[in-house]
Amino acid sequence: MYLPRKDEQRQFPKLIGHTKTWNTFNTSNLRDGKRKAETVSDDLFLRQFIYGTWHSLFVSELIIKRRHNMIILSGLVTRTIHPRRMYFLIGYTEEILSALLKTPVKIEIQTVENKDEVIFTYW
Amino acid sequence: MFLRIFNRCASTATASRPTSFTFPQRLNRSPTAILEALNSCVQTDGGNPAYIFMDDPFLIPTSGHEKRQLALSKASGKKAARWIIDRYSYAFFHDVAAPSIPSYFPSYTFDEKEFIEPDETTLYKLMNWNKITKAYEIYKKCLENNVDISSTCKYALFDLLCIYNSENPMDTLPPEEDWYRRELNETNQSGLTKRTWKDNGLAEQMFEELKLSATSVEQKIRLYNSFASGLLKYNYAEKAMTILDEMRQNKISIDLTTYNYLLRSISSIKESYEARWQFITECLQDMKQNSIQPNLRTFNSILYTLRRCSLYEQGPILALSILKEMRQCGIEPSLGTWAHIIMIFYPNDQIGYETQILPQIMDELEKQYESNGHQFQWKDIDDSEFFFNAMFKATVNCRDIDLAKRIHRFLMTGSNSRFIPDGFKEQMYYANLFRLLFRVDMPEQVMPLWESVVPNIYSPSINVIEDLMEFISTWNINDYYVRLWSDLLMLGFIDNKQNNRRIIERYLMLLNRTNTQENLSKDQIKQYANIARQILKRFPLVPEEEQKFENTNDNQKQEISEEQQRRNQFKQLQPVFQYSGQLLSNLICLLAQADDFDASWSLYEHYLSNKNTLINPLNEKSLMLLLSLSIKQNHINRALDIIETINELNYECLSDALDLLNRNVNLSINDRQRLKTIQKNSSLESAHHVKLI
Repeated sequence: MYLPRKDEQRQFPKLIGHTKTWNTFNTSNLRDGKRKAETVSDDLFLRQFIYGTWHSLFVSELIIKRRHNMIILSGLVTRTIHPRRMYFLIGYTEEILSALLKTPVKIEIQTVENKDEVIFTYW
Repeated sequence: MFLRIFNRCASTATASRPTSFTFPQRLNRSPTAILEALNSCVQTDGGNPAYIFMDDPFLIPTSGHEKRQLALSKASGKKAARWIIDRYSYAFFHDVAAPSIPSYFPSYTFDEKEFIEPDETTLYKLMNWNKITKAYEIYKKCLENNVDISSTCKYALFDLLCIYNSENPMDTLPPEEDWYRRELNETNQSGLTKRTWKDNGLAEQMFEELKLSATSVEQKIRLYNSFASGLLKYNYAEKAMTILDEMRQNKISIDLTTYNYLLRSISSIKESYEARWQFITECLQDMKQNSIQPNLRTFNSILYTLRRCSLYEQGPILALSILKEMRQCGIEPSLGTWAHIIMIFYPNDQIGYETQILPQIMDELEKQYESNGHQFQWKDIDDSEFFFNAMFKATVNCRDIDLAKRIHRFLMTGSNSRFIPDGFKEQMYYANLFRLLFRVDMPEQVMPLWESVVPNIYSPSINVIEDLMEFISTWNINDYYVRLWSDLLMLGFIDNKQNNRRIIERYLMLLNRTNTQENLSKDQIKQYANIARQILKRFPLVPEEEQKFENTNDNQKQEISEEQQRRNQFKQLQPVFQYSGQLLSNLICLLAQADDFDASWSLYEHYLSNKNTLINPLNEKSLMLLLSLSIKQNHINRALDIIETINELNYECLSDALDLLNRNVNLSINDRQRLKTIQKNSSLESAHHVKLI
C-alpha cells in the first residue's frame, strides 16, 4: 500500500534505541523498577483517552513522560480548532486525568498546521 | 609567645588528630527545599508566556482580551472536569497515591439521610466542610430534640458564623479565574466601607442565645470578642460600639483581633481627624493597660485609618512615629505598611514631591530584602497594594524616571511579581509606568523596557498605545514604524471597533507625515504600501449601493435562501468599517508613492462615488501624488479628471497641478483645450497665472 508515512512509521521497530525512541519514558524497567504492569496499563488507558477526547487532533503518537510522580503528555496537534477550545480541552484533560490516576498530569503540546506537515515519506 | 604556640599547634594539626569529633548539626530542610532553591533562580521573564499558557505560537495569547479568554476557557475546562468527577464519582475512588491527595477525589457530597441526625459529630463535620448554614440548622434541630452539645462546639460554630457573616464561605477559585477576580466579582470594585453585616442574621440569633447561657469568664470573652470582630469586619460600626460599651461595662476584656478590627474601622466611627487620632491613642493605651502586645496587623490597621484621613497635616508625622513604635516592638514592617505610608505621604496628585520618602522606602526595602535572604513573605493582606501604590505615586507625584525604574527592577527580582495579585492592578501599574516613561524618557532606554514586558507580561490598553504612538512620532523612530504595525495587529488593536479606528487613523497619519520629511528607502516605501494593502484587505471598501441593496433584501426575504439570509444578517450586524476621506487620502499617499496605480485609482473612484457619505474630502497631498503618478504612467485622461476634482474642491494646489500637466509634452490638443477650460472655470487667482501652451 502506497500511503503517507510519518517519521516514526517509516523507521522499523528494529531501529528503536538506535535512531528511533520510545513513546513512553519511565523507569519501571530498570533494575528494581516498580509498577511495571500498572505503568503499561496506565499508558494504554492514557492513549485511548486522548484519542477519544481530542477528536482527530493529535497527529503524532502521544509521548508519555514520567518524572517523579508526574505524568507529562506531549504530542503534535493540528490547528483545526480555535485556541479557546484547545485550552478548554487542556484544562479538562489535565484535571480529569489527574483525578483518575491520582498523579499530577501535565500537557505540553505543539501545534502543526495540518496533517500533511508530518508526512515524512511515502511507502 | 602564645601566638607562636598556636601556630605550632596548627602546623602539627595533621599529625595529631583531635580526639573528639563533633558532628555538624543537621539542617532541617523542608520536603520542597530543593524546589524552592530552584525557584529562587528563576525570575519573571518577558520572553515566554505565563505558565498557564502552552508554549506554542498558535496558543500564546498576545492581547489582553485573548489572555483573558484563554485563561478562562482553561478554567472552564477544569470546572467541566470537576463536574464529571462529582457526577460519576464511583469511578474515581481507586487510590494509588501514598499519601493520598484529597483534591484528586470527588468533592464530598452530602447525603441528606446521612446528616439528618442532629449530633455533635455531624456539626463538626459540617463545619469542617464549610457548610455553616446547614450546621446552624442542625444545631437548631439539636436544641429542639434536646441533644446535648458541648460548649466548644457551640462557640466554634458561633465563631464561624461571625467570621463568614452567617453565610457559607466562597469557594477558592482556580488561579486562572482568580487573576480576573476583580472583574468577575462586581462588588469589590466600589467603595470599601459598605455595611454588609446581616442584621438579625444567624450570628445575631446565636449571640442572643449564647449570651444567656454563657457562664464562665472565658466564654463571655470569646463570645463578645467574636461578635464585635464580626461586626467590625463587615462594617457595622455603630452596633459594634454598643457591644464594646457593653463589654466595658461588664468588665469583659477585649482581645487583640477585636482591637485590630477596631483600629481598622475607626474612620467609620469618628468623623474628624483629631477625634480619630485621639481614639487611636486611647485604644493603644487600653491595650497597654491590659498588656496586649500589638502585632503587625495592629500597626497596619492604624496606618490604614491614618490613610483614610486624607490631607491631614499631622498624618505624615504620626505615621513616622508609628514606624518608630513598630521598630521598638521589634516588628518588621511589611510591604503593606509601606503601601499605607506611601499613600499617607502623597495624599493626592499634587502634594508630596518634596518629601523624598519614596526613595527612602525603596532603600529600606532593598535592605530588608537582602537581610531576609532575598525573599519576601506575604505577611498581611495589605501587601498586595504596595507595588501599585508605589508606581502610582512615583509616576504621578514624583515624576521620577529613576525611581520608577528602580521600583520596576525591584518587582522583577526574584518572585516579587506575585505581589501584584490581580490583572487590574497589573494593568494600572504598567500603564502608569509607561505613561511616565513615554512623556519624559528617551527611546534608547524605554524601548528595551517596553519589549521586555510586552506582550507576555503586560498587554497594553488603548490609552497606552496612543501614548506610545505619540512617543514614536515625537522621537521619529523610523525603523520602528513597520514593526509597530505588526505589534498593533498582535495586540488586537486593528479591528472594526470604534476605538480602534482612531489607532488606524493615527498610525496612517504617522506614516504619511514622515514621508515628506526625509527620503525613505525603497524598501520602506514598499513596506508601507504593503501595510496599506493589508488594511484594505481587512476592511474592504463597501460602496454605498451595495449597502442599500442589502437593506432592501428584507422585503424579499422569502425568495432568498436561508444561508444567504444568515450571511446578510451577519453582514448587517457586523459594523462596517467606516472610511473617511482622511483615511482614504492617507492610503492613496502610501500606495501612490509605491507606484501602485490601480489600487490608488480604485480608492479615488470609491471616493468619487461615495462623496456624499464620506466625511472629509481627499486632501491636497494625496491628489497631487496621484496626479504625478498618473502623469508618470501616461494616463492623461485620468490626470485631467484629478485636476477637475482639485478644481471642484478649490484647492490651492490647482496652479501647481496645471503647471505639472502643462510641462508634459505628450498632451494632445484636446487635452490642452480641456486644461484651458478648467483654468477659465476655476475661481482661484493663482490658477489664472499659469501660462498654458
